Amino acid sequence: MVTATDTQEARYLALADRIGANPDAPPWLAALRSEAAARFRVLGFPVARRGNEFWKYTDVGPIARATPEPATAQGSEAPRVTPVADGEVRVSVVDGFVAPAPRALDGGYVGSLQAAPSAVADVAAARLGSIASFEHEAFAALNTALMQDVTLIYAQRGASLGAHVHVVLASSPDTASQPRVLIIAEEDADASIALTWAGAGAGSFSNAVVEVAAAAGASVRLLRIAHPATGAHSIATTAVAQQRGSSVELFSLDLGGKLVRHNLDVSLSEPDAACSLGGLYLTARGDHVDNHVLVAHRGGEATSNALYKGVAAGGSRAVFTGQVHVPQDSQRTETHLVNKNVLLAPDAEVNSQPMLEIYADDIIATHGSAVGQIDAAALFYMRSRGLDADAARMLLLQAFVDEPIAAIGDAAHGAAVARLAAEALRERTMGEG
Amino acid sequence: MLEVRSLHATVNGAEILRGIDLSVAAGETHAIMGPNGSGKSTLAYVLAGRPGYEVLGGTVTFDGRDLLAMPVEERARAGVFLSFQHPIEIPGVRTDHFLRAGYNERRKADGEAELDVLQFDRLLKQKVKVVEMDYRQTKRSVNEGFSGGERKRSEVLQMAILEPRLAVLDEVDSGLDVDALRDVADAINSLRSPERSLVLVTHYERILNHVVPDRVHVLMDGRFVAEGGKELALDIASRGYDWIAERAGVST
Repeated sequence: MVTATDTQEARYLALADRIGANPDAPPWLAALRSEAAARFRVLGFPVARRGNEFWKYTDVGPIARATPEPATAQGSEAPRVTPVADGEVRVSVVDGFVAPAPRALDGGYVGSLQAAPSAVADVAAARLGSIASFEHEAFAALNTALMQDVTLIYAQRGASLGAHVHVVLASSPDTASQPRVLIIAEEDADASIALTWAGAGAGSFSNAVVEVAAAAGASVRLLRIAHPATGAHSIATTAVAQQRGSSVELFSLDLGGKLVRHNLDVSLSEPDAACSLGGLYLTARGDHVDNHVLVAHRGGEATSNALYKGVAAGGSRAVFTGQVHVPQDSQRTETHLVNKNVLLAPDAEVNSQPMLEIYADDIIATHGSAVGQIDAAALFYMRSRGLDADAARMLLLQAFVDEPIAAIGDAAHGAAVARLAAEALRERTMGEG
Repeated sequence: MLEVRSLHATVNGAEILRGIDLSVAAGETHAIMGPNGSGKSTLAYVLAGRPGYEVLGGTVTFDGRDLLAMPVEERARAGVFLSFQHPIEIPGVRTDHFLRAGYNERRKADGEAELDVLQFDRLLKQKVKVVEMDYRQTKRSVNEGFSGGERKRSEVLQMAILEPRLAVLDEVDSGLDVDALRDVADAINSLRSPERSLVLVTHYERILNHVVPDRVHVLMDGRFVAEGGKELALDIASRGYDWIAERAGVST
């Protein structure tokens, strides 16, 4: 029997065959793609069914059934996006292809992997695909099989990247794209990077993979901004590998979308590594936003801290799953995982699942989850002082979202999130809820 | 200024107010006293428009306007203020921001220009002195971690800033020690004026020794059962409520 799913899967695999037949590709890349294609052939698209915890709340059937054209070249123009930081270095990625000319930057390189200086390209070649595992994740396998261009951000040893880097990703209408980003911070390097998902065309499917390698003592601050992908499907996987004494801050701002899923996998493999994960998702009618966070402590004496908050308007659904894994040999780990949500209407839906899997005994761990509504007593109190109900709600929601925003260490990232979150609450979440 | 006629109200289906009549003229201070559960706070909430407090019958006019037809915030902008018995904590919302938002709504309603942060800060610095509140406290989240006394001072600070025409003060003396009571009472007295009316809702006469009322009304079982001058409060102080209940034929 031939189903629509087979058809779209078959189209992707046919593209993988075409890409694989390109004799110009370096052998290491051809091998990586071919391995991933074989894996995708086995895994297929995930199915939301009993026992499939990873995809429990998000049905990717619409992605499997949709028939956007797999991208083979850059389609539409890069969208206009407000800068995140003054003097930022902007890289546009449309349909998975890096648009601007490469540039050397003080302390590193930003641009397409293909155009990188050979010493940098060699380092990148060794890391690409080593952080985002596609063994069990079909979307990571699909991206790896079909990636045709890689956005590389490289900070060399002991250097601080000379500017904020801002990668803007966009998809043309009715196009399926596989954006790939590789961030390498060598020993004691320092980098601030923002990734903005903007301009998702109707009927498009973006399946991005971002790999982050933070070497010993490196410091990376990464902001993901996902603008509303109305009428589009967006899957993104961010995989982070941290070494001894590295410090990574990741903040994820989801402003909505028809079908949005973000997988964040952080691996803390050596002592004194610290990661700070923050998130904010604001959903309006028709949105489905799913954040799946996995933190794996693989060596002791590392710290992870996660605070995600969400505001869901009527007719929208938000999902948060947080998993922290602390195996037996990860003594003296400290981990905190908190997820809090506000429902704005009876038909808003939130699924919150913070989970700690702990096998070590000498650790500090806390976790918490809350789903509530706007405090009616506070609302009345504020109205009794002359604020109208919307202004009072806005102040209360603003206070609610301020907590994770205040925890953002990168000042430019914090300011950008505060501005975008306030706009989204006012114009979208509250306006349409 | 305030005319309440035959007011009936229910909370969660139970009739709590069963025919209230009250006239408060500009500049007057009235005390509404009564034992616990008599309906004092319900009356205060109904005047402020708290959701869930349903008016079954009767009328309330404020400066000739139908108060009951106005949403909560419009009542506030028209000059009605309720000091809460239990002021609400609002984590993450700074007291000064909250006060400025409410103050500017009042100014807008009066056709006046809004104050910017610096202008409002000047006003705030004057007003905190009136209630002897620490200015730094206005930088903290609304009522969060405030002591009972600090909350009541904050309520009176809000009144001082919003300058209402009618202030309903619900148990403004509860939880205050002797010194705090005197400070709060002094602040309230300093806010009395020929244009401003006060309604003090209280169980005990304590506050009335400091803020002397023109009229005292005793509320029991949802109705006023006794009225008089300030001496009625003194009677209640020495004899309790039972004699009034007996005389009125209600059980307390």
